[in-house]
Amino acid sequence: MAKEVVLEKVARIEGLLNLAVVIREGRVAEARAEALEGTRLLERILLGRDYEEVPDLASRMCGVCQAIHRVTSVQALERALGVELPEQLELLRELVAIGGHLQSHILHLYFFVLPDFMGRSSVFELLPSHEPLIRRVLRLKRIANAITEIVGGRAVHPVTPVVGGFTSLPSRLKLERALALAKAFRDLVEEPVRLILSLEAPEFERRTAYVSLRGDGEIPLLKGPVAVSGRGEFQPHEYERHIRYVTESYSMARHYTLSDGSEYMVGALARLNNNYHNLSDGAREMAASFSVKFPSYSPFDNNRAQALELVHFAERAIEILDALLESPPGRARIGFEVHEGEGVAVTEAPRGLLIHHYRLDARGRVTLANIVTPTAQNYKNLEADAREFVTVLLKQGVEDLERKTEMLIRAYDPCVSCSARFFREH
Amino acid sequence: MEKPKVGIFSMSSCEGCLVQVLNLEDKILEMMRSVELVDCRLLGVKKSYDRLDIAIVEGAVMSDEEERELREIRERSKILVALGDCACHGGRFLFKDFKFDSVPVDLPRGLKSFRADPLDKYVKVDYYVYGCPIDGDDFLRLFKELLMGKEYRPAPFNVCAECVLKDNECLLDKGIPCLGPITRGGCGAVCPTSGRRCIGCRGLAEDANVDSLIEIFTKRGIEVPEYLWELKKQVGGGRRG
Ligand code: SF4
Ligand code: SF4
Ligand code: SF4
Repeated sequence: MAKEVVLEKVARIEGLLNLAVVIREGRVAEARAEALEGTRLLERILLGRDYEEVPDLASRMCGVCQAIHRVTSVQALERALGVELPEQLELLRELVAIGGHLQSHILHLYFFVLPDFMGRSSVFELLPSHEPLIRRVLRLKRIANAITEIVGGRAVHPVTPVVGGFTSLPSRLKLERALALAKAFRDLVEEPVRLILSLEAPEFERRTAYVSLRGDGEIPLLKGPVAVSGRGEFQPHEYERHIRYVTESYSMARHYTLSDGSEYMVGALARLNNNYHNLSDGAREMAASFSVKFPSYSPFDNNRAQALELVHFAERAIEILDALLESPPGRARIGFEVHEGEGVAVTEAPRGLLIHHYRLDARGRVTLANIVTPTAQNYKNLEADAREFVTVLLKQGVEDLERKTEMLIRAYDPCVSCSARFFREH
Repeated sequence: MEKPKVGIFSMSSCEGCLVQVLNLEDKILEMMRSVELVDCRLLGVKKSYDRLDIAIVEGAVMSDEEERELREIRERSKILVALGDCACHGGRFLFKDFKFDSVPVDLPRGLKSFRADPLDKYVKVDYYVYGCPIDGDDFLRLFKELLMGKEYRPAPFNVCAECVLKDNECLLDKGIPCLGPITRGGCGAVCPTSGRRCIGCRGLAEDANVDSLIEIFTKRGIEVPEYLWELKKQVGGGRRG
């Protein structure tokens, strides 16, 4: 007899997700990640819009990683219009992206993940015993927000990045302030990161393909070829040849696989598996002192990878701000002409690879829009992990099967709202 | 005295508004001392309760399931607050000129058609916090006023009112189609302050005059976007009905 266990509307993740697990003769026969979030049809809304409107709308994909959605849409449009930014403006863009990563990782690790490991159900329950930690984490979050705000104009749904650059640039004074903030973040984050690195995660490994941007001496967020671990690389504009989507009648989201139908994983773990040697000194030291090694095949290590990224990207932000103060950007926005064109941008959102693809007509109106979000790409891998992990748990006869399975889901840091955009076509 | 019971819920949304609430950080901790949060999936809070004093609902209604859930929340709650443009207007500012009927009907999970409805299409909403995303301080103000038993009123003025106070150069003068004149204020005019046109995320101002905005656009040689004509058709040219 088959039994179906459904974890309904999993708590402490962004958006509404059920995980249904079908158990037959002590094994998991099937696992389904069912995105429940109403489809928001953003790509449809974008059709016919003026390219200038796209970033404002595209950033509403997701409240947690809106910063990177905005930047990615802008970059894709720049590709379409053949706009190339001077280095300083690119650095500022990277800073917006970093601010978003810091915000998002803090939220995930300390509000969503940590309570699991402390046997609590919410961050509020942690308050009585861990008030200093929680206050520190809130401060970190405030600092990350402030950095985003200085460059992006607002902490949630930043407004300044536009095609050709920015609507306005931060003053020297503000950049100095951002630098001080980044340094404070780096100092303050040390202890909370050590805490995450020291947590004992359930033991579980399953090797899969790890897909992320790959860098030369850096962990790139906004450029570079896409690495598929064990299989080589592809260029952003070739994405349609390398990944493809599958629709599942049980899910509001699209699910993605590699071109051969196999699942893959994106996110902090994939980034570090593909770029471990590029981790900043501070982050690498911390990894070493907790014997955290990459490549790692445990999805639970996505939490550790995020923690190390907090250190890495704080250090990178300091580097960028030093460089910008040394030679400040001249113009906020460079000129360009509107014409027909097509562009793809592939970036790293906090939760992994993010693709925006647009085609514009001669007046700059959108005639094609396609957005591939990280969580949508992870569903198939999550399902495969859940099948194996729950089977192992069943064998061990553990009692808290549901809680452990939820921990697996949370390790992926899923963001359901932006993945839910199902409609036919394409 | 027993602390007021509060629940925070999400329909279909990007959860950006809840993130704005979390971004209040220390202030939210303080706030939470004077209430009892009994239900919030995002934060993992789920206590048993019968009645809620305040239900805060983010997101638009997009399915029967959500409609049912919303009605249930309404029944249990003394006060219901719509949080953000999705909840207040169904995310209309996004869907401004979007034709719902043109969506292919091959939707998953047994859905028959596409919809994105504001909460007040189905239930009575007591208070609205506007914006996409909401402004954190605006939300705090609402919360404090509710706790003190006062009536919260959203900003009665338009975005321009705050924009001029900030000494911004008016974008309309540069030929940029800013919607500030017809948009409800209260956000501190964040967008124009960063040199970005207002896209109307807080909905129509109480005294919005679409005709006069069309006139301003035309005078300055700004192409009048299709959705303004559409809006004029919907709400009339002058004061909103
Ligand atoms: S109103 Fe905007 S920010 Fe708020 S949930 Fe809706 S889309 Fe997100
Ligand atoms: S920039 Fe926009 S919001 Fe500011 S005064 Fe001009 S029209 Fe109003
Ligand atoms: S300026 Fe306009 S678009 Fe920007 S936050 Fe305010 S109301 Fe929304």
